[in-house]
Amino acid sequence: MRLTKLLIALAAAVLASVLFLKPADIHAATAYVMDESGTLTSEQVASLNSLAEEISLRQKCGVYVIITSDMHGYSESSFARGIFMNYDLGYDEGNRDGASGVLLAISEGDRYYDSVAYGAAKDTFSSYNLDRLNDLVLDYLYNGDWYGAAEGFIRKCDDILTDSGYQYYVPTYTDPAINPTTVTTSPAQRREIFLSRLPFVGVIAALLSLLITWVVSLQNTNIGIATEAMKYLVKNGVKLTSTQDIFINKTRTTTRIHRDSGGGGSSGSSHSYHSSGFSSSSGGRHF
Amino acid sequence: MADQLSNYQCPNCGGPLRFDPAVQKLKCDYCESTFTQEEVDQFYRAKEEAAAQVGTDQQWETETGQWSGEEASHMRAYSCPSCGAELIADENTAVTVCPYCNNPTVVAGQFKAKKPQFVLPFQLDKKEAVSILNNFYKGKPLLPRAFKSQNHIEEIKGVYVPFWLYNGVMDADLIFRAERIQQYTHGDNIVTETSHYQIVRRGTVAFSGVPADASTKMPDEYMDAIEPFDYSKLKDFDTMYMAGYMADSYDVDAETDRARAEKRMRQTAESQLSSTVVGYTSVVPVRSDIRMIDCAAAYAFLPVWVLCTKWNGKNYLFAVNGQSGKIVGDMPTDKALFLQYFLITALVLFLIGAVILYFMGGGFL
Repeated sequence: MRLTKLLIALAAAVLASVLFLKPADIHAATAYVMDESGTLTSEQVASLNSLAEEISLRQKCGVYVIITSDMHGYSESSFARGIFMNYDLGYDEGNRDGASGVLLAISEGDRYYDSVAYGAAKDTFSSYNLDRLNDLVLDYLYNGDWYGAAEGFIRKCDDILTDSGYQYYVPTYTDPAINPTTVTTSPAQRREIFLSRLPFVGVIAALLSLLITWVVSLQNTNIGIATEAMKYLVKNGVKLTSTQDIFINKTRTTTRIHRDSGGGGSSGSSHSYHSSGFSSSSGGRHF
Repeated sequence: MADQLSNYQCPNCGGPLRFDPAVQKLKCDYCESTFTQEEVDQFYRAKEEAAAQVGTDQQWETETGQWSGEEASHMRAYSCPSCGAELIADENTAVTVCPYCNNPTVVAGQFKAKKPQFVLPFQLDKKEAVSILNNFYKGKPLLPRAFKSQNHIEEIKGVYVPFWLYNGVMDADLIFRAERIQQYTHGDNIVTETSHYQIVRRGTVAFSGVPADASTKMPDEYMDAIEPFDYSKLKDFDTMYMAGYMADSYDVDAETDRARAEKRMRQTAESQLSSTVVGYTSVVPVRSDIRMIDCAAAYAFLPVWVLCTKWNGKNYLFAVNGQSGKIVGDMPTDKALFLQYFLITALVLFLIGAVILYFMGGGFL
């Protein structure tokens, strides 16, 4: 009985821990600059967005600034990377494997920011360059100049891309693909999904348990009428007098293979192997 | 009252002799003398034959005073050769124990009328049978605890159960429809070729010693379940092996019992021939014509320890193969334990499922 109580307590603890935090919404990317916290005016957002769009299309590298109201359930170390993947960011030419971009992610509520680069941009935005970008925006943010921070970041990215001779290409990744669920959902969303599926786990567990208990209860009886006599076969007692495998006819069906014509653009002229997709700064900062 | 019974008494002290599985000899429980079959045969042959002669003459008396005609026709009254007490038994009783002097008593006439060809002597004694039952209780989490702790074996009997052992040959003629599917790519097409076959398998399958218990007193599902017996230890029948055990003559004749054995042989013959049809994607039986072309039955006594217990007013029966020790039985299930087991298992599975779901979903903590 002590074991039963322990298991009930454990199950209750798991449920409580997953119910504790309220899930938050995340929106797919529709622009280069997004402000979910309402820190910038709509005119400022529009102005920054057109600047970032012009640079991104010219450089073939997405340059993004996203200001969120909270961390979306991410830890500080995974905040910028999580936002990049969940907002489906990156410039590409029809092949999402080739997404390339650099992001400044700012959590207004936590007063935390970090930058990250992905895809072909990873070669240009090394940790050193990302640290330089972080240093640049810190002064603006410290002084409460959110617009200045975003604009400075975007323009500096343009300079770095130009100076480094950045070329867009589709990298080949050597690490296993990132878990698609992790890529497309935030921790809060994953908690929501987890909770919605938990009742099904309960039903399946109950059904399996019923089956197992029933099988165990069958141990209490082992009587039954015998239906075969394998144990009493005489050694070499099976004698085949006739074995015929008579061919009757053959039917043939043909199915046309549907081939996807593809249509994706060229993936670029150069290839480089990336272990994963990201390059990160040496660490985000509080301001 | 005519004396139509015989028993084995110790030539030394007159105490009852019983067959001891450990030494495979007759043993006296009082003076602990042991005797070989030959020694006892020599000593008692004359006595047994005299008793048998009376038995075959059907001179036993039937008590009809207080029994109905139908009942009386199935009852027999004997007098114990040791103490003279009157014993009432049914018409098929071949070996019994006198309740007054505890002497194992052989109704020799039964063996004259329905003589077994073989007997498989007990290899396990009563203590081993009880020990096997106690071990059988272990590892059964849904068995009521009171059944284990408060359970007392009410009765334990070593019984030679009458069996028919069938030797037979099944002649089988099977027809199947089969398909073999091949798939390959040709240009922009996937080509699926299905070849259709008619499969014929004819042959014979021989069986030896398929058992079917020949006593209506023994539940068939118990006797089938305690198989197999090792027939290499079969002995020619001798009443010596009966000493100390119970036995009934058969009351299901070989022809009636044959249907059970034949059903088993038919099923196995079909599966043996079907197993030779290989290399096809699908096989469907079309016709199955199986018949027995040769059959012989041997009458044998096989050893079974029968243990009876009572719990909550209900009788529970266990049967132990007197040779191999295999035990079969039907025990109760505790509803409260069932529920507890179900809940614990469900909780464990739920936790495992939740952890798997958590990690498959990419985690969020």
